[in-house]
Amino acid sequence: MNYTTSYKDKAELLEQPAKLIQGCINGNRYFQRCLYEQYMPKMLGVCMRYTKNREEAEDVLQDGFVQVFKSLHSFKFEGSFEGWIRKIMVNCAIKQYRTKPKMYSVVALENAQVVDTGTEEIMAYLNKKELLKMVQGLPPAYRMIFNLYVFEGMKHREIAAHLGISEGTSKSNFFDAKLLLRKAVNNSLKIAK
Amino acid sequence: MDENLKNIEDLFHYALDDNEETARKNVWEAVEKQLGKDDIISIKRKYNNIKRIAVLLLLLFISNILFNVYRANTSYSVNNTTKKYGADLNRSDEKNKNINTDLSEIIREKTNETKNKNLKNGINNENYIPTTSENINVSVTNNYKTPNLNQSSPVKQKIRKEIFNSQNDILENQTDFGVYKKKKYNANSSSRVKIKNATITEDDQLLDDTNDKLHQDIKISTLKKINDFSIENTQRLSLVFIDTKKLTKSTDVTKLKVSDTVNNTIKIYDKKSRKTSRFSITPFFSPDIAWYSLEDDKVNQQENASKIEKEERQDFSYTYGALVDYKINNHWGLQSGITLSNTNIIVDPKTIYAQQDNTGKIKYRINTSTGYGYVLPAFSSNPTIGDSIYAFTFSHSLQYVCIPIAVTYSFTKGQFTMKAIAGLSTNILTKAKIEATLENGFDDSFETVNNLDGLKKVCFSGMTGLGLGYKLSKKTSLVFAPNVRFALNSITKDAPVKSYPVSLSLALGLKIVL
Repeated sequence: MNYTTSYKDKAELLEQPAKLIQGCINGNRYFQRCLYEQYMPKMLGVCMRYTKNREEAEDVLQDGFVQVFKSLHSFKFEGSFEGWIRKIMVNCAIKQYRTKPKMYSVVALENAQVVDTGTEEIMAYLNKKELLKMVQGLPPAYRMIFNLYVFEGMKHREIAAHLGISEGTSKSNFFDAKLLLRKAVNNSLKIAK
Repeated sequence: MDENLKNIEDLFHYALDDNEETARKNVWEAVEKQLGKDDIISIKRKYNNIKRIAVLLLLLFISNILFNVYRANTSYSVNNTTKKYGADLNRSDEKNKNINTDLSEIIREKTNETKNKNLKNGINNENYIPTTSENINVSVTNNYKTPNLNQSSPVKQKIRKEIFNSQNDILENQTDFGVYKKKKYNANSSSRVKIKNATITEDDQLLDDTNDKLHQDIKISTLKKINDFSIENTQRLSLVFIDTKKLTKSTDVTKLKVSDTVNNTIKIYDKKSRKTSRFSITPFFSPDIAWYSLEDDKVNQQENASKIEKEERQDFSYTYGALVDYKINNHWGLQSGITLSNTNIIVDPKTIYAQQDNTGKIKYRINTSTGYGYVLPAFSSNPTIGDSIYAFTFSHSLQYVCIPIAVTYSFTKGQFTMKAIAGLSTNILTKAKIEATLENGFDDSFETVNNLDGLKKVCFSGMTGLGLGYKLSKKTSLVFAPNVRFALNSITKDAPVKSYPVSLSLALGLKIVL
């Protein structure tokens, strides 16, 4: 494998995505590393939402980038490259969810309480990490459906097809996920205040 | 309830959509390592293709060498025969010299006898055209090279004439010598000899089982490989003198026709019963070494191919059936038939998880290299998604009915027949089964899934191989045929992985000529 390249300047390389992609297709590790470093932070942010913790997220990220490099030749330069990578990451997260579904305890939703608070006010009390922890704390099925609906903009019908569940189950799980998150936010706000 | 908190998804979307995190260094190292592995696998795959091509080329090369060796031997025989006619050849051995001398003596003797007769009858010697078979119409097919005869010798000219220009020459005098020579000449290179309008004046017992000096040299057995031998309109060749029994015994003549002889009778000796059929059937049994070459399905990324590959190992697999061969000519043939192939794979113990099946019911899903299936053991008949269960014995098997069509190239050396085979096979799935023993405390449950999902009903494979046959009798041979079958398309569809079966068969069978 050729590790040397004339594109010593990483910034220059990143300005030419087509050449960067071509280099990756050719198996040039330097190009691949540049691409990885470029998109890794955003993609890990995506993976973190779909998984329980950082370790699992990094596993998904690793599988995702391997898949990205293997499938790069099929990218047709139509649409956003970042969106394409993100889609692969989400697919990897779904794959991991489907092959290794985790057992989870039944959550009592009856006690979920809601307080009257605005988004800015909540954000003033809670930071991103806390909110991320709340999402990560959801049962796997709820977390997956919540992510696909809220962040990927999928319809319940599409989610059902992706996860091999019925549309009704998807809706029900999404509703439960929201209730759990509300409860978690309320609890955090109470503590913060 | 507050409007914002009611739409709590917006809160999370706003907060986390652009969330960024930094991975540890070892993640890139792991990615790099995985890419390196994949590179090695892809190189291995490339080498696999090269290996397949190399094996095919090797087979062709070996076939070519063996064919050339066989052809060289045949040419040597023809050359030897040509030498018997005094051909101008570079090579000669003592044996051939002796034969050549004997034949020349016979020719000379016969020619002189005829000349003397003609002299007695007042025929001018100077105008005399040497006899032998100028009045014998001989049609020869499939003959090899024209013998390079020395034009200066009258006897040799005569021989040449009898072979090529005898159609219109009809003379009074006739010896059997030319007839004999024709046979001898064509022995190794012809499948058909026809003698027409021959008038025998001497040695009427041409085909008789006599023991005189001349006929000791004239051996009908030299007619081997002549399929169609006919004698027509030979006025002086009485049926009485034709020892058809000896003729049919000592030759491979399949059709012997003798007509218009001195008795003006027609007799046809059709040796159809002795004719070797072009068809043969080979029932066989073959233990197989079978495995699946797996690829990740990029659409259904549910399972890792390399992981499944590591978990699975081959169990006893076998193929049996009957193959029908059709011989086009001495070397080339076609092969077809019907075979039943069973491939069994053992899977390492593993945990399986409950998922929704295609009908919406929640069951435990088992992913294999050959599709997937769902089980619902009695002790856990109402699982929820994500429930797991441990399968500590686990195997899957596939059964295909295969209809091959192949081209064969064969050659025979003594009792042995070598054959090279290359072709395609259509495989029809008849059975797909998973058997698993699921752990349930002290009371384990044995489950069988008879309907595997994600398998194509029909798939195609290529096949190539060798065959070695040993002739036990005229109609039966023992056949050993190692061959390789490799899938041309994936046998799975909408399954966790793409699967390409490969098998090495060591077939042992009995070939029966029909």
